[in-house]
Amino acid sequence: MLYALRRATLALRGAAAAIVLVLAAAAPAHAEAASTAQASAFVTKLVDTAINDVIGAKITNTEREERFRKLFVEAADIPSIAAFVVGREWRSAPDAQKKDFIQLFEEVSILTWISHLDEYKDVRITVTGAYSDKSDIFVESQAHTSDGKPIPIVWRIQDRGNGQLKLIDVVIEANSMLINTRKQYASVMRRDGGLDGLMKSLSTMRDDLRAGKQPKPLPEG
Amino acid sequence: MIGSLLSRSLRRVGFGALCAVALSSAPAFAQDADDANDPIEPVNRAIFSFNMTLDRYALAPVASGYRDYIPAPARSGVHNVLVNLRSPIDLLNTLLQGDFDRSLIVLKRFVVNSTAGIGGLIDAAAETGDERQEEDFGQTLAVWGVGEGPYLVLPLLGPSNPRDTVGLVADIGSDPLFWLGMGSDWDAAGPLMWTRVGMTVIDNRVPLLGPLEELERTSVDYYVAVRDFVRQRRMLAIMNRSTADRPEEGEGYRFSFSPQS
Repeated sequence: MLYALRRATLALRGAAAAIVLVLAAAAPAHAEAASTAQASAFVTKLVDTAINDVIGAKITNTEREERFRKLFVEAADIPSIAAFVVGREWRSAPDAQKKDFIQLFEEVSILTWISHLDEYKDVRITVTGAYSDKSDIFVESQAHTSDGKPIPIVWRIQDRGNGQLKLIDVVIEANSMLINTRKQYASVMRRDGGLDGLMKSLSTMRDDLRAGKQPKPLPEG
Repeated sequence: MIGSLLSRSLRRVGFGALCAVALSSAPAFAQDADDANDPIEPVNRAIFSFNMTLDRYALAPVASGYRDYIPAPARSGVHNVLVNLRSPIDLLNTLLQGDFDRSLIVLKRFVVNSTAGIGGLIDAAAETGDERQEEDFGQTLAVWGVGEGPYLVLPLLGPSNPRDTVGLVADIGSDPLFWLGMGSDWDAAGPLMWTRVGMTVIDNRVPLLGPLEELERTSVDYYVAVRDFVRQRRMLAIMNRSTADRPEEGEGYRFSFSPQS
């Protein structure tokens, strides 16, 4: 009798453990599935807003820049991106310089994009899929241009809790813009005297971009 | 020299096939952010800027003229013929890599495109799903386990490394059309061979007209931007990966990234 009871409790406990295991396994999968869908919607909205309200809208250049700035600052985690592209030197930089760098980096990024937004007028971007791991969601898309094969673009998204999604990286044809930028910055810092030198180069770049607001005339690609 | 290189590489067929099997569990390739692997950077930069000047004033204008004045169907015909002419090199290297499934695709494409594709003008095989298998001896060496060595910018030829430079020479040496040209009357064959080289250079430059200019404009250091871009491309080519394939966690663009709190 006692033996039977023990067996029964053991079986029950086993079943309970199995249920817990199943739930534990199912829970993250469920969370991931939800967030890949969310991230895809996030990217779709980002791209649509950029194309319809920024690039395609009949507005002044100043207005266009402001709209793009708002979109970019809201969507991307600029402080984290700035820290990553600076790399090793970030940790030892004083807080004031970090703050200045983040602002400069934001400015240069915005001006760089703004200076040739025109070229993206005829580009259509469609989200084709998404996958995730424990910290990131990768939203896959295809950019269709007027000629040639569609270009694969992957948007790296991180969930900052409370459903707040942030854009981290844009991967064009398997090339991470984050890594590419980091390598360029590393080279400038090595040759031009660390973070100070990099900031000097970026300031020059910002001023050049500001001065030549019109995109340079170039053979269309 | 080319001949001896070739025979040496041919003798390694058996070895290569073995290595190909051993290495088929493709090596991991995390994008290492800080390793430049560029010991002769000043020399490379000088050659790079020479190449860029030449590109700006000669190649890019010719390529954009070609794009703007030659209709797309004609350009794609030229492209297809050039690709078809490279089939022997693609075939040899898929064989050397022990990748016989892809050798068959190359062979099938060559037969279909040379006949139904009217001498290579139309890529008829692609329509039935047999996409081009672009292979070269540099990739074969990589599959055999040869490291790329330091970054190297070659005059006129652009970004490379010792392994791929050897590969390039071997590719020229293993091209039957090259020997056919060398063996025949130079007055007739010479212009044809140079036309092929020239058209290949232009054909390769056209799709990069937009992207390279954009990269230059958005870069603080264009040299490094190109170096990184070329390396990533090359790694994908060696692994026969498409740029749309999903990398494993920790590989390619899936490096770790933690937010600043």
